[in-house]
Amino acid sequence: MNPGLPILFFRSASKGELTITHYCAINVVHMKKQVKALGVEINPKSALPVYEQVKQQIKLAVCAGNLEEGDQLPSLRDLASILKINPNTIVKVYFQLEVEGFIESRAGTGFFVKTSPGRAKAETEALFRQLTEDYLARVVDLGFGPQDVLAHLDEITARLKVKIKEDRRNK
Amino acid sequence: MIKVENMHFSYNGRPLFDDFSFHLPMGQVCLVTGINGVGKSTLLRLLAGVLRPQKGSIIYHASLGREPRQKIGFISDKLSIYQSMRVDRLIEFHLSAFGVKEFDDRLIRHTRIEGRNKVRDLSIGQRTILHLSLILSTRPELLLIDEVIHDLDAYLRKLFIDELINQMSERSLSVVFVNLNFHDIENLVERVVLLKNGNIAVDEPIDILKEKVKRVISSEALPQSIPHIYRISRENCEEYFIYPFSDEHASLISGKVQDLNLTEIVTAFIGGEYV
Repeated sequence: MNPGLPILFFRSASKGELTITHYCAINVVHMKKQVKALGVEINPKSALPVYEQVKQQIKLAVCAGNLEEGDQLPSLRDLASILKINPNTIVKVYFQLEVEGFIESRAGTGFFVKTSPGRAKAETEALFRQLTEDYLARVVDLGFGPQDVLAHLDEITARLKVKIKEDRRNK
Repeated sequence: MIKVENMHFSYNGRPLFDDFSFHLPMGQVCLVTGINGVGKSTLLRLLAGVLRPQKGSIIYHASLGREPRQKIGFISDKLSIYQSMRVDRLIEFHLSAFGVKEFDDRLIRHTRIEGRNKVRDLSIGQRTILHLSLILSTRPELLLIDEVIHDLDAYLRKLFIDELINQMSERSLSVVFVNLNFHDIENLVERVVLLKNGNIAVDEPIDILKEKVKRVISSEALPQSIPHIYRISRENCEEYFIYPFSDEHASLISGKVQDLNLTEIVTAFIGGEYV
């Protein structure tokens, strides 16, 4: 999550008492009544439609494990008010997420996260490819070729291996 | 929600709209824009039923009932009606006129407006927010909002937008905005309509518009085949606003193709009208 993003803290959802200290991020109520913050940011300049931006970020949170099975998503009204976007947009996001099997609606209570290990893997892989492609596009813009990328990758992976080894030893 | 068909309207002998048709579906949020004097405010007055077209028709959805004007909230730039009235009397009067049982004071609760204040003693911002809360208390199905929100300071504007989103999540509320501070409503708008010479020049869903309007900053002139709506000549480069942009254009352009936000898109369209 973007560290510069102010977070909205709820005191304790189980006591039914809600206190807002800061605005902006969105809260998700966990099954065990803990409250988590889910950062969603909208880039108004992007040609990627707003519903697509919100949808991707929620999917990402599910894939990264920030959202877990049974977590309750914010209500349409809360999400629309906090993000300052059209409630119709949120309806579209939740509807599509439900069709794609990421969330389920329970009559009268709201929207809840549904996880599936196989799907999470496919989604994370798609995200990985997307990130790599974005990176490559920018590197090519700078005038570097495949050889430069591979050379640098070797350098980084060598360092990464050392770090993983150290981490293991520390554990 | 509202259907305008083959409307003609002249003002002081000057035709403003000619064979003008426009359809606003239920629950849609639409931004109407165009240069000054193109007839944006007049269009709102026509939609509100304050003015009548000389030819053609304006048809309201059956859900607005026999008295559509009761279900239309028209927020115009002329708010100074009951100057000498006390605020509490004004609220009472307004509620009984519209048959509203309870006044929802969410909007004005934290604005230092008190019942014993006379309307004329309120600041312009307070008066506007009071007017907005009176209109929203009638729970309109169609909201027509002229440029008044410019009178509100940043906090009052936020209160208003919050309440708007609140009501939009409760029911199907159609909204037509005219040239506002786009930043506030950036992600509320679903459709953009550009007026030009008495008719609609551009009418696109916002998601499509963001795909179709691009900026390119280039040191050389763009090929003729790429259509642009507006161009600014800088010292060493040209800034182009392309519309409609298609993927085939990308390979013909040497500079970087940039996405734009709503304000930039609308400014480019309006700028193009002036040049």
